[in-house]
Amino acid sequence: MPVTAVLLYEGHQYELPGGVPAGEDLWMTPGDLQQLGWSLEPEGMCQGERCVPAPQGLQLVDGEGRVNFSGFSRYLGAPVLSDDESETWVIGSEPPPAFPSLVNVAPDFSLPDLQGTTHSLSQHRGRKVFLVSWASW
Amino acid sequence: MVNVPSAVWIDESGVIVRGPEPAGTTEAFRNMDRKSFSLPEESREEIRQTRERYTDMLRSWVRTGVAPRSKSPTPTADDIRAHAHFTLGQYLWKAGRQEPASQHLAAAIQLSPANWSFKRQAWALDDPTKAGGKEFWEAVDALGEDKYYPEIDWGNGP
Repeated sequence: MPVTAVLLYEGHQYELPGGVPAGEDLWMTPGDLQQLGWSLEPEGMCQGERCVPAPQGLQLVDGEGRVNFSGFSRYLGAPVLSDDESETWVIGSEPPPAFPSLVNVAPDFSLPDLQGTTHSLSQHRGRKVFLVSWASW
Repeated sequence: MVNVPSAVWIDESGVIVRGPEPAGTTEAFRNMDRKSFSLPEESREEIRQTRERYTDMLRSWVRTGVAPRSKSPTPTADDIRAHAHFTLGQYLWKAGRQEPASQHLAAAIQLSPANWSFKRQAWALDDPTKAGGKEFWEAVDALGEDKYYPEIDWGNGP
């Protein structure tokens, strides 16, 4: 039965109105999947230019066209956690590649300043960035 | 970033040049008087010198574009799973579900014990004074001879 599940994924919070939790998996509509930056294509599951063939032995699509994104993420090695009562799900990061690239590009992210204006790391391309984390504990 | 203060150096093309690493700080903070928050003179001097050396290295990179590269720590499977637990715990806490939140936060701390950000943020959710109070200092003392901050990789810098 569809519920509005909350999915915390890649630093963002998504509301998935067509989510269907079943056991340890969260199935979602292709529209919900698209919100996450993924789509189901003939060649497999695609995120931009990256496509992963449908894993053998995993039911990726159900009879109503919903996609088992949590199962797919688990196949990629990402942890999947949920809180059943609040229908909140977390899909964590994939493990780093076994042979990491020599060039380590910083992932983009956005954070609000004290006035609420959002700043993204990518806005600073072309300039050196010294990124410091600090806390007032 | 698993502790504060931490720094990452990112060049004009978005490539990480250094870090995350301790941003010019040292273990000397452990000599702090826990009531007055004051440091002995030799500890203050050690921190001052380390900070100066670090900012000199930073200034040199800004001026010349050359910096000793440091190896970025690679997260383990447990670190990644810990991050997922922490994300869920933090969300549930803010949603008013303290009991399951606490379980996820505890799991994060257990899976990634070197991540002081997890510990201190979890403590601060419960009581803001804990992150810098008795719990914090007890955990620091429990390190014994182990480091609170990893060593800064100075390369051949100044």
